[in-house]
Amino acid sequence: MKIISDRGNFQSIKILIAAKTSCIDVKFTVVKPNEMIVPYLTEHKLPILEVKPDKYLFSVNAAVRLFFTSTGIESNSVEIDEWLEWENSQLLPCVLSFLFGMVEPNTKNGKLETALQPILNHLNLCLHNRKYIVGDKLSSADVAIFGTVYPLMMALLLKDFSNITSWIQRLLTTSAFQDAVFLVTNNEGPSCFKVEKALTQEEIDAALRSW
Amino acid sequence: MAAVEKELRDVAAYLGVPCGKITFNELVPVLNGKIKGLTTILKHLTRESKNTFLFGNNAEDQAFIDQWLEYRVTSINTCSNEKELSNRLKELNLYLSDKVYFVGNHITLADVSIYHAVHGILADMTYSEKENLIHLSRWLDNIQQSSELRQSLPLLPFSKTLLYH
Repeated sequence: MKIISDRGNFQSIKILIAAKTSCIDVKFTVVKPNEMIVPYLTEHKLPILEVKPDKYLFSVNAAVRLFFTSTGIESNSVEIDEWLEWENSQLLPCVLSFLFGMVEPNTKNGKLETALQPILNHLNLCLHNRKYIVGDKLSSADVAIFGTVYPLMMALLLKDFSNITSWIQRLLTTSAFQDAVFLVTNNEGPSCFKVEKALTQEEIDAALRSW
Repeated sequence: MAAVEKELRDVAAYLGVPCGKITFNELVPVLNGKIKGLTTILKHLTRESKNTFLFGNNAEDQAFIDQWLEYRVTSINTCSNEKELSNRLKELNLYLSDKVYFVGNHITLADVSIYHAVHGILADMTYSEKENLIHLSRWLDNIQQSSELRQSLPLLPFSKTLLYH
């Protein structure tokens, strides 16, 4: 299997963690950010997991779960379904708006932060006295949510959410998480997600759509 | 929200299980006050019904089914204008150009969910608009032959040239 991603794409952290955790060898191929890989999609979308030649998973969470279920690390459960759906329909759009909003000089961060607040509160509450999001072992819910909240460390946005930060720190003690973060951030940690150049509204819209 | 509730009731009837109480938290459907999210509820009802063939034959099928269930919620349901919707329909049409079902060689939950997502959109189209989405139309016409799947949704008409294409 092959992971196809552009440089510094924080969503690719998730697939790398899942592959490493399930001890499956994958190739990591870096392409240009606007490269079209999946022939039937009308917009570019990265990262992609090439499961077989010409057979692509463009859903990162589905790719993470494939590693965990095919190796028996987890079986399907309604709790994991619910967290993964929450991640990609609520958390991710909000985090992306926030990350893209940060580089827009005229966007007031206050508004986006307010939108993130209840979402992070929900996660923080659920992590109270818990090592993992579902049950007592690592699942694709941890991996999917870790990959999406990790860039927020850069904005110091998580400092008031002590359960989330200690959960992140604990996950980062394992080599699968360390290695994935090292590879994707080029050893810079969360600060690498700070985009230098201000994006145009069009670029932001395109990026949001492609997620 | 009424459409989502009707869909969940139709799918439960198709699966032969009771649906339970549907409420909404903002726009997110909640089953019996505890199971949240459209995909999560669809998968839960399918597990309850023991129609496990709808989950495909192996972990890989399941991953592709999960992908299309996610696509339906995050890409089709969130379209905010005509252009986006038209791009999504083009993607589905192109994807289906060499397929009878979304994943594998029998109906799965991916077909069930996307059928409900696009039925109303294709119902408002003219024959010629549907012909421009020939693979999507062929797929839907095949799927809709099951009255159990259709439940309360009407059979959509397609032109004869399309049917015998």
